[in-house]
Amino acid sequence: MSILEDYKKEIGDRIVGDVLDRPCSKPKIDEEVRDTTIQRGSRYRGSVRITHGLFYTDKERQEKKEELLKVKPP
Amino acid sequence: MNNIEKDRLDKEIFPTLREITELFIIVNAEIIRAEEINPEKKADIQVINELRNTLTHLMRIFTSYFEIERDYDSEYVKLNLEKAFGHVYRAGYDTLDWIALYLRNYITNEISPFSSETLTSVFPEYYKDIKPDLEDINNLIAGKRLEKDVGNPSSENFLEYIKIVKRLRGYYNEVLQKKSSLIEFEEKLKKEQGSKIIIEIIIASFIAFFFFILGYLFKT
Repeated sequence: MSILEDYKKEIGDRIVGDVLDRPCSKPKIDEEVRDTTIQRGSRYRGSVRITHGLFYTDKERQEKKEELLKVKPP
Repeated sequence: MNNIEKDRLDKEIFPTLREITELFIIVNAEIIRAEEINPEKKADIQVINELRNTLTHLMRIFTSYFEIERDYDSEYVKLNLEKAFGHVYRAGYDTLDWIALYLRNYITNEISPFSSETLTSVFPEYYKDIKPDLEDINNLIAGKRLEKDVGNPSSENFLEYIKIVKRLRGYYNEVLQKKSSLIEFEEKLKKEQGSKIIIEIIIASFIAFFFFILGYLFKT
């Protein structure tokens, strides 16, 4: 029995419809997400930068790109 | 694997899958570069999310190929191969945007403290070749950003953008190599200007004194 067959037998109700065909989401990243990530960082293995909150929120990302685009060489 | 399955792989999946794989290797390398060049050492989660979406599309292809939960559908496979490529492409473009923007910023920061006289004397290539090219690069980056939004991803376009970023990196290294000569010349120039001002003050004082004496003699 494959893992998928086994899963469906035990917890099959989780695979309703085409789960895999659901649209790919774009997560909202804000200060709250950063705080939660740092708080729970020690529980997960993963990127050191991300677990330390070293990532752009959507707002920071937008503002930083706009700021850098305005830079004019002398 | 029967002949039909082999045929599907060879003709419908492998050519684009190879392209996606090669693009992914390049994009992955550029993501690492972008994280290293970032002064705040910040990661871009939206870029990582693009790669996650790539995986989702690849898994859709494999579920169809292995006929897990669905039949094989060549149109579905083709669509998801295009989408997977599009997500790696987007991740790459966003990453190259960061690298290009930071390199432009770094070049500007390194060059800004120097006068145009110093730049012209020590680093004539800056005004002659680099600055015009930096302006062109700005326009190219703006153009590339528009192309990206139009959604016509191709390896050729991506490679073109990588070449632009490589040129920027070359300019940044060139600026760093010239830095000590620029500092040296700028200090020399400031000293010369300082001495010139003192001499001018002395001459002006002498002339004023001369006319004062002359005026006094005429008066008496």
